[in-house]
Amino acid sequence: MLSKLKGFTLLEILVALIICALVVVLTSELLLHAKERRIRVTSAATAISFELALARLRGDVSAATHARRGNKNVQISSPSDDVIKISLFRLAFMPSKSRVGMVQVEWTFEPSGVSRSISEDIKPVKVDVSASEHRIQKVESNVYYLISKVNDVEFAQIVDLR
Amino acid sequence: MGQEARSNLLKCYADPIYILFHVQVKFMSKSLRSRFSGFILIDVLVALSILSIAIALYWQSFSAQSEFNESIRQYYSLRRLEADARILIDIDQLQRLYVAGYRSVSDVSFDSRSITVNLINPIRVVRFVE
Repeated sequence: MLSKLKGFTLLEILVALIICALVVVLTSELLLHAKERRIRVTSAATAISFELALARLRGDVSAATHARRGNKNVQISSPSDDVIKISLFRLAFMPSKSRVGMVQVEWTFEPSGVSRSISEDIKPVKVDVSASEHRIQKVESNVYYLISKVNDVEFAQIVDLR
Repeated sequence: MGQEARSNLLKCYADPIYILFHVQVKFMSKSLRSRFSGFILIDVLVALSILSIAIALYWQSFSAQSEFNESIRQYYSLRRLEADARILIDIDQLQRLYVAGYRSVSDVSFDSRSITVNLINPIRVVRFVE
């Protein structure tokens, strides 16, 4: 026992070195790509949130009330170059009054993200992004293209007000 | 045994660390006691195996998450594309379709009443007909 405590043999050191090298190889690959992969996963999660917000916007626009002249009563405005506001009225369940009633829904597309504000909302929509650009293009009368660029990925959706 | 040697031995037995060590060794199992005598290769190999399994699982979870996210994105993107294409077909403006705004779509070809979409991953063709 005493002789063993004096030091390591060459074989032991070699085995230890091989094991160390193996551990380094295994972990280095993981550490090198971990940050990049985390960014990719976060970016994908943001994109999914944005997709869900767009799907909800489509639902809101299709459920919006109609104006007297026939088209949807939806107001699209752009208070500044990089902000788009979509305002509409629709029927929705109001938890505070326990009944269905008319509510005003306001969507705001701005560089910091997208938000949906509604007075009686149970689950407000808020998608925060680091940088985004939004623009609206007219396709035809009462049909618009909402184009957003989020983390260098473009999203396009038709806003049909017919 | 001389007086000095006996005195040293008594000092040694009176040392609590010495006693504790010997009591520990006495009650150790045979295999555990033998481990004091050399390099514990099997233990290191077991630890290394556990580490590699943990790393592999972590890596796999990352890949699975990415794949899952991609499939969800593609699903929503396709639904959006289909709904928009129907509106554009309805107003005879399908040529105004903004293809870059729909992810996972490599190529879109359309005539006046239908749209064919080539998806990147998995490679398949989706056809919407009005």
